[in-house]
Amino acid sequence: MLLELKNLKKTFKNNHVLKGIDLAVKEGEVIAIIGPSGSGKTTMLRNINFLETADAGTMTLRQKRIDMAAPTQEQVLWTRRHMAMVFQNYNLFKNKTALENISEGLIFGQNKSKEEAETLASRALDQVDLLDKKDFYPSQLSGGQQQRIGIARATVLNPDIVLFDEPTSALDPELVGTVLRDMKRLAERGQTMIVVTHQMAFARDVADRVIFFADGQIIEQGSADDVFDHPQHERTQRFLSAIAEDY
Amino acid sequence: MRLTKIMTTLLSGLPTTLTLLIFSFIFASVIGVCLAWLSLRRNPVAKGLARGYLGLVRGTPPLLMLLLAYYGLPKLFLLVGIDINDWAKLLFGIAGLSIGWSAYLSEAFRSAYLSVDPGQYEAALVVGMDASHAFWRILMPQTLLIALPNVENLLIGLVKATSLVYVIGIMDMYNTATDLSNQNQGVYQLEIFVVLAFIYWLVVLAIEWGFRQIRKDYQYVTV
Amino acid sequence: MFDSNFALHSFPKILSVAPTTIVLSIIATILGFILAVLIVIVRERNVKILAPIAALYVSFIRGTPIIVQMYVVYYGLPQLLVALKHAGLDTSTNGLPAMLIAILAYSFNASANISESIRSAYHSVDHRQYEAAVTVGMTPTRAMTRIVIPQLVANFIPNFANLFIDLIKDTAIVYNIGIVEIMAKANILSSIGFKYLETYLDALIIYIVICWIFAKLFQVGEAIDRYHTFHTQDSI
Ligand SMILES: Nc1ncnc2c1ncn2[C@@H]1O[C@H](COP(=O)(O)OP(=O)(O)OP(=O)(O)O)[C@@H](O)[C@H]1O
Ligand SMILES: [Mg+2]
Repeated sequence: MLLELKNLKKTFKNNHVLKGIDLAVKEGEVIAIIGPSGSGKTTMLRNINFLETADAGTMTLRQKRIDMAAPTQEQVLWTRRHMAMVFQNYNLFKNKTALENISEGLIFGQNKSKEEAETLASRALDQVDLLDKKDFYPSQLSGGQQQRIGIARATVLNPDIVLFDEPTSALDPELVGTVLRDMKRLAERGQTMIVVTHQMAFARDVADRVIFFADGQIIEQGSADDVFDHPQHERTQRFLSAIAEDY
Repeated sequence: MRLTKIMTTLLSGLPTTLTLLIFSFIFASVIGVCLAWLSLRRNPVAKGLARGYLGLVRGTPPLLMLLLAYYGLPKLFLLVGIDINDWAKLLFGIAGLSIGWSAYLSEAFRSAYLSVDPGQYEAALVVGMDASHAFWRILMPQTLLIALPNVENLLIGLVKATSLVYVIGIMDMYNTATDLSNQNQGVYQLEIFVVLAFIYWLVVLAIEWGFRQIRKDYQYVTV
Repeated sequence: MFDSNFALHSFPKILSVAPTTIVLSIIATILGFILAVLIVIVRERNVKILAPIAALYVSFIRGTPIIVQMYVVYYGLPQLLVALKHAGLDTSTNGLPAMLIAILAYSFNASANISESIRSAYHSVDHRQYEAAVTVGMTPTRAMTRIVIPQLVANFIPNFANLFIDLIKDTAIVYNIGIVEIMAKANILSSIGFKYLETYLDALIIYIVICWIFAKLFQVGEAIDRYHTFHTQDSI
């Protein structure tokens, strides 16, 4: 196993958001997480890379065990340098150009030289077909372009796992396709990914495993066909029929 | 002819005015950053200290601040055995203006810092930067950009406030003008002050122009 | 070293002239406000010739120290009156009260700052609010007075409070033209007793309390206004 979570718990005040999550991720696996709003999907991703600290739980990443409730400073940095994240609202650095957005993590997270970082960053930009935009600031780019740069910024770090938090839900419908295409390419290259998404077609097409998440718990998981076509739990069925009306 | 004489006399005070402006602004910024840092601490004592300082300075006319610096600082320093009575008046002028403006600047920095999108910091952490890199490379530049319009206004306010150092006898541009108007026993007084106003206006216009250039350089950075 | 007795005795004497400071500030702010509204209308409507003049006026006032403005009025107004007299207008030219000069100078000063503040409050009202009001059938005037202006006022009050408090502090120089307000009284008492720090500390306390009281008053005013405009209850 590349990543293993055991008994991950998180509470905000009296709100039990994560109620003991167990999750194991194999190398190269693409996992799609679906579930209703407020069920704790974002919170789970943020706990995995320590943007928030869990109340309980252990994480094993590449054989290294980390107490998620009390990680050391080194463990936090180490984890973040083996993972990357793509945000719902892109969060590109507004004071940096497209190229700098990508090279920044290489220089200041991985101690690469400026020249090497820029070469790698240019290549990553090329992979998302945006090399011609390298000197543009985020404000000069469309949402779709920003998110593809967000993906390049994450993958250029050569992470073990990339976490995606609803990467297309802030985008205009006509821009969603370009971002999903880049994500699919990434999956085909064998990148391990955990993707929180409402894009059922993407989950069906790309994910090795679909997880249905509700009330801070994993309710059901399996192949896309299993979960979408033969849901076992009443909760899953309700959720799927509710969103079916939207699509 | 008369106008040139007025102009050259007044301009002889300009270097002092600019010296006051530049040094006060630098010191006020440094103190302002420290104050902003204090008031952003979770520590209630640090916070209270910064808030209290701000509350006091906010209600103090800059003129009074200068007088208090001039008459008060030497006594304050004497308490700890340091004699600063012989310091040049210019230093007291800079001290008085710095104390006043540091409070306003700290507010500008503090509110700018708080309005940086927290997602920017998280994104920096997520690409593997440590907290200090995230601060210096991402948060700090964005904070400065957000604070820019307020800083511009404060700098312009400071230009005007430098005229108040006449109360402690510094020969800045304004004081040179009153001197000249007294020498002339009341003729051309209007001309003197109108010319003086125009010189101050030009200084302010130059500052505004400078800030416009900065804004143009960063026009695509929409923080 | 520090004569606290002297400070204590001076305090009520200085406090007794505080009304002069406050009255000057309030009158200048009211006159300045009226002038500011005119400036805003001229500039927002882009009235020919007047709009650029107003812009220049605002830039000039904001670019010059108040003490210089005060002296320009102090020396300029009598000359203006003399000129007007020559032009046949019946004006009295001697013995202009200092208070009148101060009120004029501070009104001009306030008008420029307040006009900028109103403009920025106006621009921060969402333009769609106006459009929405017109779409539901309000006349443009009604849309302005019922929808835009109440929101503008809510945006404007905090800035206005700061400007007013700045004006109070700026009046600390009018002793130069012979008005006996807080600073003047402190200076007079100082020169009698040859003690400076004492009276200045008295003045400091008085200014801080005055500014604090007005800041609180404006906060209450803002809360009440917000309640009436948006029906939200911010805590004071
Ligand atoms: N920082 C926080 N402080 C307090 N409560 C929080 C915080 N972050 C999240 N929550 C709460 O945790 C719960 C789960 O939120 P989360 O954002 O993880 O849901 P989600 O599954 O990602 O939903 P969505 O699909 O809307 O993004 C919500 O009830 C939310 O109010
Ligand atoms: Mg979410």
